[in-house]
Amino acid sequence: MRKKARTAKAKSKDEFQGARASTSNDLCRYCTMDPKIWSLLPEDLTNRVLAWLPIPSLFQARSVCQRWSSTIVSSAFLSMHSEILCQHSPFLLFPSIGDSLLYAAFDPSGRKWQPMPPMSFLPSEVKFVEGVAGGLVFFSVEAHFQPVKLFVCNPLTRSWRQLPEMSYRRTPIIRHMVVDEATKTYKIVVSGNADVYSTRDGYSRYLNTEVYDSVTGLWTETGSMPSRFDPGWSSADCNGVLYCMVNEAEAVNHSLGVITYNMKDGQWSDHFQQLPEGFSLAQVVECGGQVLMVAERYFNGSVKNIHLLRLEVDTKEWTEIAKLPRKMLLEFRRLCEEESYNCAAHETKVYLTSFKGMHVLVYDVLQRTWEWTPKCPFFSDQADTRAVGFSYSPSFSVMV
Amino acid sequence: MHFQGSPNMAEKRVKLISSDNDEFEVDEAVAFESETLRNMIQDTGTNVPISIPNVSSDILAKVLEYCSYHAETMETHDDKPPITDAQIREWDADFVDVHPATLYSLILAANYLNIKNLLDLICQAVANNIRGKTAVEIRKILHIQDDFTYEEEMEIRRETKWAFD
Repeated sequence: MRKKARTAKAKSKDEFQGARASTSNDLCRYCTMDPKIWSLLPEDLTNRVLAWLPIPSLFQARSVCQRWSSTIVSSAFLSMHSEILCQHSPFLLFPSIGDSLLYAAFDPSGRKWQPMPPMSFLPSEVKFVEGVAGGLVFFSVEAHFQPVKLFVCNPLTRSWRQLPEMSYRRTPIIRHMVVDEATKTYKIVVSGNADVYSTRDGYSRYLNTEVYDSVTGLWTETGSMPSRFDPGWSSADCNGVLYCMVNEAEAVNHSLGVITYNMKDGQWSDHFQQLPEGFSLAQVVECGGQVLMVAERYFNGSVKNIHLLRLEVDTKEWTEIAKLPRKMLLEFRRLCEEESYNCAAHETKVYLTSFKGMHVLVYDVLQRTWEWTPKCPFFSDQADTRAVGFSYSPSFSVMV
Repeated sequence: MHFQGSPNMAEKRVKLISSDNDEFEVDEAVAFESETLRNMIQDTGTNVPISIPNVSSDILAKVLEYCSYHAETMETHDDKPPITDAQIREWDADFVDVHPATLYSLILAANYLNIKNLLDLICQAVANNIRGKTAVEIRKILHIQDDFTYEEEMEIRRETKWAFD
C-alpha cells in the first residue's frame, strides 16, 4: 500500500506530483538511460551492494571481474561487510554424523537454504562440530586415552588453528566459545571432566575452569564450579554471562537447572536457577537477549511434549512461554523416530533439530508461531544423518 | 493530517533546490532523515534554501517521498494505530520496485544525502537483482567487462565450485 507524500510540498504542487508520477509509473524515459552507468558506480557503493549478497552469491561474484575479485578481500569491503552482515546472518545446519565438514545455511529472512564453502582444508581428523560463535566454527577431536584436541576455524577465510593443550589433561564437559564482535577476539571456556579412565584416585570431576583467550593465545585457570553441581553439556552466553545446564549432584531427584559463570571476572555464582519439576532433557539457549530453556515434559505417561521456558531477569524464575502444538509434536516425534532432539537459537527464533534425519522445526518467539523450514536440498535424508544447528554471523574479518 | 496540529507545534519548513532548479519545501523532520541535510540545517538554519546540485528533481522527489514516509512512521498519533514493521517493509519493497536506472540514481542520491536506511534498502535491492546469477549474467546486467585470463577464471571457478551447485 503506497501512501502519498503528504509533507513534501513543492512550491508548485503540480510539478512535484508530476515528478512523482514519472518516477513511479512512467519509466520509459529511464529506459533510454545508458545502463553502462553501473560500471561507473563508485567503488565504495559497489562494495556496499556486494556486502548485501548472500555468501554463495558473494563467492560467485568473485568471478565477475578483476575488480570484484580483489574487492571482496579488501579491508574496506571487510569492514562494510561485517557491519551489514549482522543484519542477515544465517542459521547453520550440519549433518553431524558422517562428513560434518559439509554444511548448509538457512537464511531466515528469505526462508531459503544456501550452500556453504566446504571446510575440506581442515585436517582429516577434525569432524565433530562443537559450536559456532560469531563467524567461527569450533571443533573437537576425541580419541581414547588422549586429551581432547580443540580446533577453531573461519570457513570463509579458510583459516584454522589447533588450540594449545589445556593445563589439565582432560575431556571437559562444558566447552563454550564466545566471540567478541567488536574486538574480533574470542574466548573458549572449559569446565568439568568427562574422563574417568585417566584418574588413579577414583573419579575426579575437575570442576576447575579454564579459559582460552585468542588475544594471548593461552589458557588461564579461573574460579571453580561449585562442587554441589554436576555440569551438563548444554550452555549459552548472554551479555557476558555463561549459563550452564547442571544437575544438583546431591539432590535426591537430581534437580535440573542452570548456574552462571561471569566471563569478565571468571567466577561462578552459587545461585541455582532450578527448573520446575517434571522437566528433563533440558537445553539452554540464548535467544534475542533472553535465556531460554527447551525441555521435555512427560504428558499422559508416555508421550512427551517439548516446552520453552524463559529465565526472568528480575525474579530469576523460569516462566513457560510456549509448547509444541500437539499435531506438530506427533509429527516431530514420528520424524525423530522417538529419538531426542537438539536445539539452537538464532536471532529471535528457536530451532529444533532431530537426532534422526534433517528436519528443522522453528519457533518464532516474537510471532509465537511454530513452523517447519523447507527441506534442506543439500543433504540426503539418510538413516545415519542427524541435524545439528547453530547460530552463525558470517565474518571475513574475525581471526582464528 | 499534517504535523502542524496546533500553532505552537508548527514545524519548521526547509526549502531544497534540485540540480534542475526545482524548489521543494518539506518539514524539518523529513529533511532530518538525511544526515547531510541535518548537518547543513544545523550550520545555516532553515531560512536559506539548500541547493542539492547533484540530485535531479525527479530523484529528489522520490527521495523525499521516502523520507516523509519514514519520518511519519516515527510519529505517534492518538487516532491511528502505529505503522507496523511489516507495513514498512512492504512499503519499502514497493518503493524500490523501479527501473534499474532509477535505482542507480537513487543510490548516488542516498549516498550523497547520507540516508543510511535508504542506502541500505537500495543496495539490498540491487544485490537482490544479481544474487543467484552467474558471472556472465551479472556482467551483462551491469555492463562489466570480463578481464580475466582463461586460467584465472578457471582457478576462481574451481575455488568457488561449491557455490554454483
